[in-house]
Amino acid sequence: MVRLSEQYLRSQRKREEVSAEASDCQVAEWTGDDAYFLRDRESGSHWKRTKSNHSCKRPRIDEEVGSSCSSMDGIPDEILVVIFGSILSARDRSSCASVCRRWLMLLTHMPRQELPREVCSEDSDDAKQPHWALGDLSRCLEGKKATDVRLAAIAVGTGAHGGLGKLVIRGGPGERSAKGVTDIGLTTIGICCNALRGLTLWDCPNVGDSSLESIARGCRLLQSLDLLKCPNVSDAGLEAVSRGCLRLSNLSIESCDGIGNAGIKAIAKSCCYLQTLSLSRCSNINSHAITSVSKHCVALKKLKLEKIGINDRGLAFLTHHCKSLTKLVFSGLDVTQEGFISLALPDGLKYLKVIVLNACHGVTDQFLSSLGKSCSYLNRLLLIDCDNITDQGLCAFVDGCQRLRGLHIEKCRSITYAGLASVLTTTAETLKSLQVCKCSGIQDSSLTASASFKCSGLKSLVVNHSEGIGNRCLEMAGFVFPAVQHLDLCGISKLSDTGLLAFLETSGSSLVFLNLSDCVELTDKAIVGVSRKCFELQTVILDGCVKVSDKSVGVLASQCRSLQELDVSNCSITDDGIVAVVISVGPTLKTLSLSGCSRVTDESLPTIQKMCDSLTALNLKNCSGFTAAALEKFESDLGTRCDILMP
Amino acid sequence: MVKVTLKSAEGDVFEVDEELALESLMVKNMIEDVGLDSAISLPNVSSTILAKVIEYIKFHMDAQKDGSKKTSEEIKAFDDDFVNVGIPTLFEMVLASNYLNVKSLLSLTCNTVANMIKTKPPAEVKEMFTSAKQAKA
Repeated sequence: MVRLSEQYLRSQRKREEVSAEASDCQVAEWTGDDAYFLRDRESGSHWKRTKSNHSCKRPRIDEEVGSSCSSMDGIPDEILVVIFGSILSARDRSSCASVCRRWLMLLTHMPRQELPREVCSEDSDDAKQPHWALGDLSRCLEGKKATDVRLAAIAVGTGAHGGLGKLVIRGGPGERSAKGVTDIGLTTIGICCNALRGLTLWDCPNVGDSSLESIARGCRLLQSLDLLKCPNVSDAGLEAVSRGCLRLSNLSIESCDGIGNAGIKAIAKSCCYLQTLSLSRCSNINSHAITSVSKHCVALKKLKLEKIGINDRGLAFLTHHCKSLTKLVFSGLDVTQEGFISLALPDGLKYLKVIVLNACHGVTDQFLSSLGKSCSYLNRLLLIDCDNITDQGLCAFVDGCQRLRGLHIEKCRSITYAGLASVLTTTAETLKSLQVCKCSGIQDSSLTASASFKCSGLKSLVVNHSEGIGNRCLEMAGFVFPAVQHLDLCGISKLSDTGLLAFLETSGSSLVFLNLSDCVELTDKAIVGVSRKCFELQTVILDGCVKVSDKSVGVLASQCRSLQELDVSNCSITDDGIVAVVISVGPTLKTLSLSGCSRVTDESLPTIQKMCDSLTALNLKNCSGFTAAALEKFESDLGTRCDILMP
Repeated sequence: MVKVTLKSAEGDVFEVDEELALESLMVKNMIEDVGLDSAISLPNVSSTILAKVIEYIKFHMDAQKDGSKKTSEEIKAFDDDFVNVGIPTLFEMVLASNYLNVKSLLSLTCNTVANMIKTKPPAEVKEMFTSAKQAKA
């Protein structure tokens, strides 16, 4: 007979609450891991496939609401458990779980090892490993969909399909955010999904230590744990994880004020495979935790510390013990210059490849200079919000660090054009990627003579939201970076046709990616210029270029035959332009964004449907020109191959 | 041979051998507690079902006795025939075997139910259980 697990007995009482809570959740379907994501540039976030009416490949667990469930109360739980125990196929167990909420919860509390398994007849490899242990599947629950019932459905259902390997839960603000996922739901995962390797919990206020305890008991293979805004998780939860999940290699904790030094220390002591550690905005974690991590986790490769109360001594420990660190991210740390300099000791972090320094007042020219000398493998430097860094420090850094391949400067007001020019001269041979954002010190007006150096190896140039940068800077950029493939000029509002055309005279023939979002001054003339020079373009983003119209977009499409992604959101585009684009590049186009183009109407839909065979994503947000009936027909004609973001 | 008197829900009296009655752990406990003097009342089991349960235990006890000529095929045939009843009766037998605590019968009936669930869509499974309940009521 199948033994009822302890957890089941304990949560039996709570079960009633779940049913009540989740009663408005009509359908707990399998949220597909294959959900296609597409960038939504307006919000900078992702937009997710919205269709749910299309046939789902996997079976669904349809939830019935309480009342009908009660008609089956005749059979007591212990008998049902015996019956379920005799069901061999995982598929049939899934059907049973779909019958009612009570059965679902019963099934979730039957540990996988005690369930009988179908004998695998196919090949011998399968027979050795039970289905549920493969951990092939990943599931993502977001917003309102993140409920205990769905988790329970996943816990039962994934057993039939290869076992859950990765689970992501994003609660977050929503109508039902007060409820969301609780310990009951996660406990079912701990019992049923023994192959779980990655768990992400974001915005789960009702998840507490007992969830982590259950996960730690059941999911011994857990490698990655990511907690964000889970205020009820405390040291006890992490201690449980440290006892159960010895293979943990990736731990990320952000904004969890319940977690303090004790939890981190426990993890550091027992999880010797820890390679990546990220601690952000946890007010109760300080230098003690970092000291312990430094001592025990000598294999640590990547470390991120953001707004953690660490002092100079903690940082010195880190440098002394964790010699294998390759990536460091420091953000908002209250460490002095001396503390940072201890990082850059000659025998310190020799293998460091990437360092990100964000809003740390202890980061000074002197530190940067010694960092360049001691970390010879360093190839990417990101400086964000470092007002103490001047041209001098940056030059001293590149003098020492000869391998620099990527440089990112953001909000560093003290860096001027002269400093940047000198850095580019030194690193002309190696630099592959340059990103300059919001640096008010770099301005058109400070340009003196024309540049005398060339960075022919630079592939990626990103210049964003810099008010001082305009036509003159861009003209020079064309000369200095002749081989650039990835050009992002998002938010350079001063840029006009003259500047872009001047850039194209000396560069641009190898461009593959071009982002001109919010370059409001650009007109058709500039875009026609682009289409004459850049035949290799695959991605063009013209979001917010209000002066760009049908004429130039049509020319662009006719010239750049390998175009795969086109974003003409908020441009002055009409049906004629879209039809012209689709006729030219329709067969290759994968992503098309028409957000905010109110002059595009139903007329262009048939052509899009006819020509765009490989279209996988279409953004029609804020397009007022379409009628609902036409869109519905269009959507059904296109089928499941394309994700459409509806107006 | 000592006899045990069992009283069904309807008040019908069944007189069985003690050995047979002891197969039910529930009855066994009752006998240990109150002795053999009075009839053992089983208010949760109807006469028809109690008769079936007794028939089942009797057959299996005979089959296990030394010198029994019953082959395993015959036993299986009996079991198959035994559970080849309508769903309401089957569910009542499940409940009765659980109440009386007869392990072998419980697993036989539960297995039968599990087999009936097999390959059925959830709606049909639900239908099956609901109809059983209605028939009982």
